[in-house]
Amino acid sequence: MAVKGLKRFWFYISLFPYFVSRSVQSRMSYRADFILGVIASMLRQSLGFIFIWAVFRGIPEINGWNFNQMTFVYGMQAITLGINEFLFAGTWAVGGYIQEGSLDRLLLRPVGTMFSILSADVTLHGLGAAALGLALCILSLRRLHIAVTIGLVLYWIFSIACGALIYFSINMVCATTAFWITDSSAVMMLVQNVSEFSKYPVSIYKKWLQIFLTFVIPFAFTSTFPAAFILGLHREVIYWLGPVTAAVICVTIAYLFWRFALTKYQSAGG
Amino acid sequence: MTNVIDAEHLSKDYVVNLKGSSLKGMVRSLFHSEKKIVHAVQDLSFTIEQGDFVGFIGPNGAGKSTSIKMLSGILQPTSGKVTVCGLDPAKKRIQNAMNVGAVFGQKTQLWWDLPVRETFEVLRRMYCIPDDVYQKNVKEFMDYLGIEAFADQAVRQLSLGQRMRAEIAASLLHDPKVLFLDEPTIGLDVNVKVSLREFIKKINKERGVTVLLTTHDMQDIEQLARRLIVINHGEKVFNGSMEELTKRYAGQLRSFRFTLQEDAEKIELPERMVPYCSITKDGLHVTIQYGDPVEVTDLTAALLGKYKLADMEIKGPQIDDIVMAAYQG
Repeated sequence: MAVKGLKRFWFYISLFPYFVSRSVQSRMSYRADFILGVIASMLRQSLGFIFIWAVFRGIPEINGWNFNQMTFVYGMQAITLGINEFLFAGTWAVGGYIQEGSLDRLLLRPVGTMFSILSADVTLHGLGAAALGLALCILSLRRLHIAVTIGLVLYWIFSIACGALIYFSINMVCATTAFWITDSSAVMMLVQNVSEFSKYPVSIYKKWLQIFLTFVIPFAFTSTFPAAFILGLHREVIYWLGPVTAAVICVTIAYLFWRFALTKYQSAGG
Repeated sequence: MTNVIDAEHLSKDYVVNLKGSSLKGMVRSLFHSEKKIVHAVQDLSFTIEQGDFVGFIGPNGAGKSTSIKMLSGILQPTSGKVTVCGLDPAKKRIQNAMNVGAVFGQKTQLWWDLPVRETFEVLRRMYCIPDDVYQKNVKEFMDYLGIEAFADQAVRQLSLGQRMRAEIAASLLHDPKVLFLDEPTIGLDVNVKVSLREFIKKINKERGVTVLLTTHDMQDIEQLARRLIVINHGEKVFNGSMEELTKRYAGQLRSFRFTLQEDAEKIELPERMVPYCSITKDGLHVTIQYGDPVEVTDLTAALLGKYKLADMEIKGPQIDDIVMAAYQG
């Protein structure tokens, strides 16, 4: 069973780049669109950063976070968002699959439906945001004189992966509501806007919003918590174990909800 | 166990939200939506043996597609049980997908932007088809269906006939044990229809692939199906061979038409035939619809003894009429 599971995992890992290259193949033909998309994505992130920079010209720190630390949080969020846009853009197409009944096609194939959804849509635009985020993080670490050890880098990568999975799961849960409400894009947009809060440390918000962003829609685990741990501001368990725990819970919920929704699938007439 | 498909008391309900078309109705539906339950398939039971070729017919909206979607693991039954090759399609969706091939005439299963050849390659990877099997199948299907000529065109650029040929080939690449064909001949010209029929027949015969076919083209059924399942309003109304269907529903469907040389006031038939015949008369033209136990020879003998006929025509039961009679129950 374990061997079978491992084999299956390897099957998906090897199939993914192939599928992605198929979907990118048709999209790369619009080279101008690709370049503009990357620039737009970078620009959007830069504007937000200019806002932080402007605020900190007047005040040295907010709730125990200085400018450089804020920069790191902002960078973390940009990287996570970028990866999410790059790898998990497929979630935005789920509503369409359900409306048109084209989920049928995915269900007919001997491949997991989530895999099919994700490998069908990859937007390279996200790479713009991710690159900007990476630059901001490196800048921040240097200005804070934090020693970049292998352990730190590994934990950083790991927490970004967890963050991306949290993002994806939340998006997926929203997308899945399409089985009942047909058009889930409004719900997805709403939650997308909520994610904006994670550009800044959650401690700057009111208590109820902090609780909401930690335990209800846990965007705090994609930036604030791992950033505080990496920057050495907090060493408590929730700061370093929080992201992975949240990721496991979120992925599980998203997966079970999706499985449940599939039993309610009605396809389309014809 | 030679049953490839085993359906027991299969039912599928759809929940339909009724939305008012007026603004008031739309606003109201935001708060409490009115729901209607549609019984798409009801208590459907049947078995299909390995290697059989079954025609699955019924009027539009009878529940054919819904049934096929339940057999292929797309939809989960509301109640009842179904196994395909011993597996529950919805619970073991991925294993079931390896066992079945499916073609939906109304919707493409292929990748719109990819060339046909590339599409086959994607399927090879997806289904982990061994190289030798893949090469052999691709060659055979391409030759037989003439796909080579358009193999490098994107699917969206194909004509319907070309696309259907590619769809059927694609559904068979992984050597499925069962093939579901949901209206594969819809909208095709006669030539393509004939070649597809030949191909499907050959696949069923040579490879022993069990086929379940839905269609509105009764020629498909006449030429291919060994057995028929007729459903209407989601319920099974008939399950048996073409001959049995004819026997059951063609009873009153034979007709005898003739033209009288000189008008008669009334057409009189021997007493024993009267209950089995219905006569329509329009001037000199008369049509008698008759069925068992009246034989055409008796009928002609009885009429020729009494009336002078200018011409006559005997029509056997037409499959479309038989099927129509079966739909009506």
